Amino acid sequence: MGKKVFVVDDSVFILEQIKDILSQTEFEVAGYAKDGETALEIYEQVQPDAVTLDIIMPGMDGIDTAKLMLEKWPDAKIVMMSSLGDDEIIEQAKEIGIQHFICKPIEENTLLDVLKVMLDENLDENLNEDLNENLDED
Amino acid sequence: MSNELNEIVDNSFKDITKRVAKIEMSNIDYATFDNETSKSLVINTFGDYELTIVFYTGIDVMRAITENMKRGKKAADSEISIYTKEYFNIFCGRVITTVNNITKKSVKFSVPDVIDGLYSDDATQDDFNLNELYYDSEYGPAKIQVIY
Repeated sequence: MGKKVFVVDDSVFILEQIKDILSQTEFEVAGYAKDGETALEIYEQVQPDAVTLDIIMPGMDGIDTAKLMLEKWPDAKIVMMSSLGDDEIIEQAKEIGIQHFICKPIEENTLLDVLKVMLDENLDENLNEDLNENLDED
Repeated sequence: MSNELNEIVDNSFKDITKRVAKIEMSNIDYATFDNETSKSLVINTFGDYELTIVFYTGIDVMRAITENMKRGKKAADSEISIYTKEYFNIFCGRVITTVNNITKKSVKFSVPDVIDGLYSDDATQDDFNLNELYYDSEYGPAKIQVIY
């Protein structure tokens, strides 16, 4: 089973595009929500390795969704995706702890590179945790 | 602002239409639309400044946008609005991102609305500026209207 990506976006085009990009890779789309409220409801069920989160959605926007997601699941790995990518939006995303931002239209290599970097960070953290545990035991 | 805004809109429209919908749009002097058969897509900004962007085109252009976004697969009628809205959303995002960065202001924008026929709003006749850009493509004409 591939690494699980949770797509949160009101556009089915983006869902289909991400599915297409991730086919034949180590990643797979394991869950989909078309708005922030639904994403928060089904996050536990999906248990994603990474989340792609749109900013402009009906109802709760992506920034507020990311804020709540990180409050509840501080280890969530989120990449914000938006057609709107001005300096202020990127700053707002950084302020709540989002490190990765992709401007639409999505380029295949950009998405794959970001997912690899995000999940490499995850691996590094796991390695660090293992090392710390070993050190504590010693 | 008018010329600069026109340039931003024009560059964004041609680039996004080519990249996302694989359609080449050429500038023309004037485009007419049938009130009955045309569609309008519209977004409004909210925040530090008011801007409305309207995209007028016919069903043939919308179908071509959709089928190209679906990598050549045939589009069901119900899919046309969904895919065209996403294409328009990406185009408007590019325009507003650029304007926000230049003006150092911040606005977000509404989810696009699709309207049967031509868009009409009192704002187009009142104290607002109106820029219009006209295009043609192998699938038919298009017009972008910016009200600010």
